[in-house]
Amino acid sequence: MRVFFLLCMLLPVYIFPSFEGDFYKTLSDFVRNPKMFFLDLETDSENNLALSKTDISTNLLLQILGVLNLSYNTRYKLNSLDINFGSGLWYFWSIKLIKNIDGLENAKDINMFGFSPFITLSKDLDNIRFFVGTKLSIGYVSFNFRDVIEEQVSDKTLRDMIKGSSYVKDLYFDPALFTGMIIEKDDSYKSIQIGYNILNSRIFAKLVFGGPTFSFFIGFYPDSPIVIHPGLNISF
Amino acid sequence: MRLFCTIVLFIFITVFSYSSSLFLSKMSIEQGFNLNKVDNLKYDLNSSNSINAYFAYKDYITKDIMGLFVYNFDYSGPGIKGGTANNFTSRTLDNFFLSKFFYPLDNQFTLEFKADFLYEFYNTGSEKWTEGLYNFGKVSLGSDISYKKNDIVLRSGVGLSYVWFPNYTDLETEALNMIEGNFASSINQNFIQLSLNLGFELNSSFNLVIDYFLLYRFYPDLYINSESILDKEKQYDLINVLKIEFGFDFKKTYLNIGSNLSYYNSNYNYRKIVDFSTLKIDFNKDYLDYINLDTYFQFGIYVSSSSVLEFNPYLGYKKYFKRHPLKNDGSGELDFSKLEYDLYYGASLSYNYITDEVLSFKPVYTIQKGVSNNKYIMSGGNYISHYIGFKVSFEY
Repeated sequence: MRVFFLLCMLLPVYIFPSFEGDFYKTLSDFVRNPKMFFLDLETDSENNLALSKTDISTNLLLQILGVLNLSYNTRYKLNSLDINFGSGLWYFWSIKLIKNIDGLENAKDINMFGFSPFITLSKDLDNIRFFVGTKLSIGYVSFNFRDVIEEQVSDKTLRDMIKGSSYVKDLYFDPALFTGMIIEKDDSYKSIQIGYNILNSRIFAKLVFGGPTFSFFIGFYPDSPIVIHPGLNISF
Repeated sequence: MRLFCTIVLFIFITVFSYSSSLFLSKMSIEQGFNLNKVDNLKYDLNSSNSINAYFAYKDYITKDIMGLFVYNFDYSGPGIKGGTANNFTSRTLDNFFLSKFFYPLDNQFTLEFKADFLYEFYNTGSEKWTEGLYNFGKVSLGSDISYKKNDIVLRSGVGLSYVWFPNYTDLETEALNMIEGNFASSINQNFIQLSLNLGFELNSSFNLVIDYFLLYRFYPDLYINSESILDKEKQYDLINVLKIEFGFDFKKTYLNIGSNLSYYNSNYNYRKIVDFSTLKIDFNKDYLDYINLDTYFQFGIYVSSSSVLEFNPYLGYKKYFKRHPLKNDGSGELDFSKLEYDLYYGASLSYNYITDEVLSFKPVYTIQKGVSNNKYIMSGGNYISHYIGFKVSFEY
């Protein structure tokens, strides 16, 4: 059952008929709307579930892809209400490597990082814990491809046309609301989370299956070019 | 829509199987793939997902009056998903709020009042959710009275709804109106709906539910496309729906059979410019009038105390009384020698496995075929579609 589940959930990541075509489409989507990528990266790197123990974790798959990330989550009890708080933070250091691609040597100011403080309220209902929470996504994105465009695009009209979107330097904020359920048993847990980024009108959802050290999750982003993001977290 | 109704019905059935205060919640994510073959087009493979969450709470708000409050969030990606929709690209995002109050008059009669709000974001491709052309909102007020004796429930109710489309525009109709000098015409699709429903329910060794709905829609600002541009007749729709559902629970199996019969009558007429150089217009009077029958059959086997195997064949047929299909020569003109019909049929097979009492895993496979005499390539009425999906639900 578990193998079938993994196959069913993960196959969409690999079914793209043309990887190269999708890579360029994703790159062009990134240049047009870098915000959507930082929101997805952030949700991938944070753990804001209503966990009963303090959790410091990192997403190993993102680390392999060159995104430094860390998540902190701890619980505080206030009367009968449990409050989890913490933050995820990430730094996409490997995006600077695109300067090594032929023709992109003159790209400048490439930076992408962010963090997302959150607060999650939860309540135990028999054998399941129900939670609601809010987070504030804060991200900084900058890149400057003006010199690249100047050098690579010979047609003046086209050059002038795309130059405007080849430079970004922005600090993004987007509050989000989320809700979910978690079943904790011994040292393992299973959880679902559904949320909504308010300013960008974007849905996100997560299924998480966690153990004492590792947890596996699948992130669902229906409004993104890559709809499904698998992730493997290690907790310290 | 059938899925949405099923969820709401499920909430009601579950809520009223208990008598004291109760909180219910369900969250689910479904990931699937669609393999579609539309006539004259290549096979198309894509992935799709659905995300759903609902919360329901009921309690006595006074000594006699019970309140029920429901919120349902539903995101639905493209695909057939068990015959619930025949769209291949569009996505919807629904927010639904319901409050309902039950006031028992005596041991047999109960009076109910309800108010609900639905907003649907409808995305046809890549536009922002807030900019969808077919986004709509709906607010409703209603009242029902029910009579219960032994295993039988009789109910009757009335409702009033207002539906609005904040972004809807129809540039072609606007252009047509301007060309003909018909400046008084409006394309505002907002409408008021009056509804009447009658219901019968029998809960004994088997369940039988029969519901009849009569809906009248009035469009205060929408003139129909008449033959004469001087006509300023406003659009109305009259819809009759008869629903019959039968369920039988054996010890190791169960069977549900259901059918919806609807008769749609509208004074809407079709007008479209088919040749801009000559301004030739095709006109089809009473374009929307149809009769529609949807039937489903669910057969389930309790494989173990925690798993169910379900087989669900279904069929739908829609026959238009006066609507002519488009020619399949790409001209966009109507083929006046035919009247349109649409048929779809299919079957789904699913296996639902429940663990930890609240967590379920459900793989599903669906095959559906559509047949229509509207052979126009863009109508998409002739197709075969396969869907394989996997659903994970948490339910409290």
